[in-house]
Amino acid sequence: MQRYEQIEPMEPIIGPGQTYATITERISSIPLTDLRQTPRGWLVGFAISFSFLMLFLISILWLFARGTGIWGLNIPVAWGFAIINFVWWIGIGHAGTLISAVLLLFQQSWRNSINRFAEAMTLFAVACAGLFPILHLGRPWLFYWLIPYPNTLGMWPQFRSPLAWDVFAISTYATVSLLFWLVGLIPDFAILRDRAAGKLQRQIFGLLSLGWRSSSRHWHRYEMAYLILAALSTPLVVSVHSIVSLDFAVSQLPGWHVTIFPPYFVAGAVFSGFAMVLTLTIPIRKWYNLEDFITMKHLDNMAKVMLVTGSIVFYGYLMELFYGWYSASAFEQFMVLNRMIGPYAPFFWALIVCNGIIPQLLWFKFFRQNIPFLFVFSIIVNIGMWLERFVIVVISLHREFLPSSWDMYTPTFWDWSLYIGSFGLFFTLLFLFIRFLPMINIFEMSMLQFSENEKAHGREARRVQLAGDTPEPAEMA
Amino acid sequence: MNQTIKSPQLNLVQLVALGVGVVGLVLAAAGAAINQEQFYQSYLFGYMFVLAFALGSLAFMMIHHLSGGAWGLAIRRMLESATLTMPFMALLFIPIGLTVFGDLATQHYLYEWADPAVVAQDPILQAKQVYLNPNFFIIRAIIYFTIWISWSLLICKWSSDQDRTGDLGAARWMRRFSGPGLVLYVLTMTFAVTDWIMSLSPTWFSSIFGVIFMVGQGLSTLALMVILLALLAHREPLASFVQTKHIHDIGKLLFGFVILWAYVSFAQYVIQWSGDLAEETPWYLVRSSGGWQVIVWALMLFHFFVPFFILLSRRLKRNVQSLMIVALFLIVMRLVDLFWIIVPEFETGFSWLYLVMPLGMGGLWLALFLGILKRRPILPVNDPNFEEAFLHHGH
Repeated sequence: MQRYEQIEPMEPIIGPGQTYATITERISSIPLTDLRQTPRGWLVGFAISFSFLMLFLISILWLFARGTGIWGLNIPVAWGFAIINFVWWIGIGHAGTLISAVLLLFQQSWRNSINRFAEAMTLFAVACAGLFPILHLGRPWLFYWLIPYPNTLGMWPQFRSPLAWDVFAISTYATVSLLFWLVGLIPDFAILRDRAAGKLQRQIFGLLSLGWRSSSRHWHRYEMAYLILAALSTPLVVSVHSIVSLDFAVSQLPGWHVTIFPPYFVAGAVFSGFAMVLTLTIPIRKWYNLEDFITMKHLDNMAKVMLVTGSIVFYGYLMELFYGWYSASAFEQFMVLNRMIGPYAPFFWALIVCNGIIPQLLWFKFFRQNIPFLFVFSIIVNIGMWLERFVIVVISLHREFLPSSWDMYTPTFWDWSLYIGSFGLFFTLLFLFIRFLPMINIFEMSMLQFSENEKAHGREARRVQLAGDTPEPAEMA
Repeated sequence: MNQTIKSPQLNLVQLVALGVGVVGLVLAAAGAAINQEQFYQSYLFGYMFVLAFALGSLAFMMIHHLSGGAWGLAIRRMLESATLTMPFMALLFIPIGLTVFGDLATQHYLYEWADPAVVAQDPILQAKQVYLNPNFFIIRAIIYFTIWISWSLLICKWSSDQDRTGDLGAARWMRRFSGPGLVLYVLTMTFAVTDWIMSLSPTWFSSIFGVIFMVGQGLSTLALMVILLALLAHREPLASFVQTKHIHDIGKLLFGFVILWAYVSFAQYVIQWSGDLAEETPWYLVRSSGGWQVIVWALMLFHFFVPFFILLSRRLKRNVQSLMIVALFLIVMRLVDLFWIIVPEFETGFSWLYLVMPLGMGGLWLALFLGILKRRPILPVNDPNFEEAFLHHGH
C-alpha cells in the first residue's frame, strides 16, 4: 500500500464531475445556440477575420490584374513568399492528420477531445496552402494543366518533377482529410439533429447526418470505415511533406540539396501543426469553458510531441551545417557561412532560438504545464517555422553559384498582404466551424468517459487489493 | 517473483554461439595471417553488424524509460543485458582504431584519409583534415564509447537497485538520464557513422546517413527481441506476464522500422540520384554496377516488400513463433544491407572472411549477452508501472 501511494497519480484526460449528459449538453449547446444569441466575442473575432479575408481577395484580384510582378520576386530569388507560405500552411495542416489517424491507430485515447478541431484546422490550412502555388502560376486560370489529361496540345505534366507529385499528394491529402472529418461528424450531426430546437436547424443537421439512427449496424460500419480511413491517412502524414521537401532537395542548390530533408520536413510539419493547435485551443478552451475536455494532460502531451519533433528539427539544422562544412565543397561551405554571417543572418539566428533552443525548455514539466508559457511558446514556434522556410528558400537562392547574379530579396506590400490575408481565410473558416459545428467529438468523449470510469473502478479495486484485503489476482483479471 | 530465466534452449543457443564464436576467432586469425587487408575490411563489416544490437538496445531502453509501455517492460532486461556488452564492443573496436596509425594507415586498408601521402595530393582531404585525422578520430571514438558505456552501466545499475530495494527513486533517475542519453545517442551515432563508415569514401557525404544507421540498429534490435521472446516467452516467469498484446506491440514496432528503413534509404537515393553531383553519385554508381545491382534488387524485395506484406498480417504479428521467422530473415537482410553499404568501398573483392567475421563476432557477442541475461532477473518486477502493465487485463 505504501508503494501504491507513492506512485504519481494519473492525470485525468476528462475533468471530474462530467457525465454523459453534461458532455453532450456542453458541446452541442455551442452550435445549437440561437443565431441572435451569438456571443459578442465571436462576432468581433469573425468581423476581424472577415476583413482580413477581404484583404486576401483584394490582393488576389490585384495579382490577377497585374501578374506576379507585384511581388518582390526576381532572379535569383524566384521563389519567395508564395512558396514559403505554401510550405508553412501545409505543415500546419499535418497535426490534424497525425492526431486523428496516427494517434487513433496507436490507441491514444487522449486524442478524442482535440481530433475534430485539429482536423478542421487541417482542412482550412490545406485550403490556404493549396492557393499559393496556384497564385504563383503565371496564368493561374490554366491551373488545370497541372492535372494529367489527354488534350489536343499533347501536353503532360513533367512526371519526374516533385512539383507534379505535389499536385497528387496534396489533392489526395485534402480529399482524405475531408472525408475523415465528415465521416467522423456523422454521429454528432445526428445528436445535433435530435437536439435542435428550430425546424431549419433540424433539417440541415438531418440532411448532414445521412439518416443516422445509432443502430448497432450503423456503429459497426462506422467503426470499420473510420479505421480504414485512418489507415489510409497515415501514409499521407509522411508522404505530403516528404514530397514538399523533395521540391527543394532534388535540385543541386546548396541549402536545398540535403538528404536529411524528408524526415526533418515531416518532423517540422508536425511540430508546426501542434504549435498551431496549441495557439488555437488555449484561448478557445478558456472562452468556451472546455477545460474539462481539453485538460492539462492534453497540453502536456502535445508539448511532449513538440519536444520530440522540435528536437528532430534542430538535429536537422545542425546536420545541414555540419555536412555543409564536412562536404569540403566551396559552394556548400559558403552556404553555411552565408546563413550564419550573411545579410540574412538575423533570420537564421532567430530561427535557431525559436525552433532550436526555446523548445528544449519543454524537457521540464514546469514549462509543459504552464499555460501562458505554452501559448507564447506556440506562437514563437509558428514564427520559427515560417523563418525556417524563409531561410531555406531565400538565403539559399539569393547567393547561389554565380556571384554576378547575387541579389537581395525584399518582399513588397502585396507579398505581405497576401500572407496576412491568408490568415483571414483561415480564421474566417475556423470561426464558422466553432460556431456551427461541434468542435469536440461528442460521442467519442462519451466513450472516453465510459472507459475512464472503468479504469477508475479497476484502480480502486487494486488499491483495495494492495491494501491487503480481498480479491485474488485471478478475479481481478 | 524476482526470478532469472532458466531455459535449456537458451543454454544450447549460448553453447552453439560460443562454439561458432571460437571457431570464427580461429578462422579470423588464420584470415589475418593470409590477407591482412581483407581481415580489416571484413572486420569492420562484422563489427558494425554486431554493434547494432548493443546500441539499438541502448536506444530502445532509453525510449522505454521515457515513453513507458508494457512492451518495454517485457523486454527491458533483454535490452539492458545487450547494452551491458558495451565494454566488450569497445574492446573489439581496437583493431579498427589501429588502422589509422603507422604502417596500417599507409596501407590504407580502411581509411585513405589516414595516409599522409594520399592527403598531400588531395585538396579535399586537406580541407577535411581538421576533422578526419588519426588523433581526433581516436579521441572521438573514446568519447563515443565513454558515453555509451557510462549510460548503459548507470541505467542498468539503477535498474538492479530497483530490483533489490524497490526504491522508486531509481525509476526517476533512469527517466532523468534517458532524455539527455537519447540526445547523446543520436549525436554520437551520427558522428560515429560519419567517422567509421562515411569516411571510407572520404569525398562523399550525406546528412541522412546517421539516421539510416540508427534505423538499422532499431530494426536489428527489435528482431533480436522477437527471437528472444519466441524462445523464452512460454517459460516462467515470463509466461505469466507476457501477453499476446505485448508481442503484437513489438511486432508493430518491427513493421514500423521496416517501413522507416525503406523511407530513409529511398530518401537518400532519390535525392542524390536526382542531384547527379560529382561528389555524390559515384557512391551509388559503385553500388549499382559490377554485380552489386543484384543486391540492390534483393534489398528492395527482401528488406522491404516481402517483410512489409508479411507483417501487414495482424495474426502473424500476434504469433511470436511466426514473427520469429520474419525476425531471423530480417537479421539476415541487415547483414546484406550493411554489406552493400560498406563492402563496395573496398576493391579487394569477395572473401570467405565476410562470412566468418559477422558470424564469429556475433557468436561471441551472443554468448556473452546470453550469459549476462541469464544472471539477471528477467523481469523488472519492482518497476512502479509493472503491476499496472501486467495485472490490469483491461481494454
